[in-house]
Amino acid sequence: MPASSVDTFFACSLMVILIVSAMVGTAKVMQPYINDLSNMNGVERCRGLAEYLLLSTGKPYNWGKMADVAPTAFGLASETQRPYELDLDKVSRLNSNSIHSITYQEISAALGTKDISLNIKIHPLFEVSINLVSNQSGETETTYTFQVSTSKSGFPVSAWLQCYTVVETYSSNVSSSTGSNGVDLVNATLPNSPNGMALFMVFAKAKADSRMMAFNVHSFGHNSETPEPNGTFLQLSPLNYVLNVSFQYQTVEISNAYVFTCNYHFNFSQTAAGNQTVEYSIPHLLDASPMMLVLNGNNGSTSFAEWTAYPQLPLEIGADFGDLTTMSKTAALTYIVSINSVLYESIITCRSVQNYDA
Amino acid sequence: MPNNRGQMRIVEAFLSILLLFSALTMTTLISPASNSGKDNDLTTMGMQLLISMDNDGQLGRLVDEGNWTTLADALNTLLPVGVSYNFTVYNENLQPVNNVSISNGIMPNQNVVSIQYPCASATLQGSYYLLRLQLATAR
Repeated sequence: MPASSVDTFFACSLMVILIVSAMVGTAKVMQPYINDLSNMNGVERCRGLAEYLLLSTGKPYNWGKMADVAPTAFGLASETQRPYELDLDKVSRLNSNSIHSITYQEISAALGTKDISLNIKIHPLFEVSINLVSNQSGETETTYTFQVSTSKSGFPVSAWLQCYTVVETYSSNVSSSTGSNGVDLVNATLPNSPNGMALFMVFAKAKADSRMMAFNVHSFGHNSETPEPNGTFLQLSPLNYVLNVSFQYQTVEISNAYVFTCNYHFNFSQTAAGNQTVEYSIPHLLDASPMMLVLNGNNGSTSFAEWTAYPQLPLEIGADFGDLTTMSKTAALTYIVSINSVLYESIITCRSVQNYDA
Repeated sequence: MPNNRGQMRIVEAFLSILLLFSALTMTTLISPASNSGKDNDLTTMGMQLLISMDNDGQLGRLVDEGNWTTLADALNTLLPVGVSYNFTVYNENLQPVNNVSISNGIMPNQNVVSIQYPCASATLQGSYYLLRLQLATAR
């Protein structure tokens, strides 16, 4: 074989290897960009879906108020048509603690997007944490000292505080504030005569904007044993300004019912009673504040105080994206929403089954 | 005279390898990393945040009063942790109004989006401002 033929064969082989390696190299280099494009479509779709459910009222437009009606089209917006203003009752019906709650399956069916997994979280813009640090008993009264912290993901938030303490028929309130470190010590004094389960409630209003509010409740035994967790004796389900109370035990008796907001507190009255259920009418208030509904009473010899917020926040509903592998393939979008003139944070997380599992 | 045609083909092949690989390398270096999805998220978040702040005139009121500390506190509470911001207020003549920095520090190696928002104060004088909110997350 002549030398030139060997050289030509060698050159041709080199060219073939070159072309094949170039194709492989191009594919490797381009793959992340192609993936990114397909993921972007997923994110855009998720954004469209999130904005749809925050900006549309759904069908029927007042489905939140109708306890036994599931929406045929899902949307959380209020009827006021203000952008990103959510309906009090539609939001409350997302909370699984309510007897009026709708299921994730119903949401999925109403959205008509069976190839998308969805998770909705709505919570206050910052957190309030309460710790009972000490108590001092006197002859007639006991003083409890609470450490109240206001923070957002660990960073301090300066806030005005309105604190309420309630035990049986006794209630008191004290105003305070947290400084730049987001911490304050608050004293609550209770007379020794009523005893049983007591609640210490805090409404915090950010100094930067009074529409940013957060709340929390701490339960403690006042001259009594450690209280049972909230929800042990009653299931509280506020909807359309009516509080539905379901007894968890037949022997439960309710003594008092209170409404607390940032600026007001008063008793509210029973309007209906059924078999193991009672209903209370919740007043319409112009105060821009979430409401805290508190009921206390007895179950045999055990006293209790149970509470719920209206709107029933914080809440989370939908698919569980806690797994890290799943989390890496999701799109999470954060929105600031308002409910009754109070701002909350809503995080909507989506995962398109088609994009990632195909 | 020896036949050099075969050797030339090998030289050509090597030249082609060099050409193609350098083209491939250049393409990789020049192609920008796509961040448009993340940028859209930040832009939507920023615009939605400004609309929420301006809903009851609070934004215009804070700008009118020159209350930059409270404005920064509000942005710190409204924005998720991990998002950096830089906020600038311009008057009608597009001159910066805020005499102090309203920022939590944008790092140099971050993807920055800029949102412009016209804002009017609710006072009788009716001042107009152009607000520029720059948002960034780590690349």
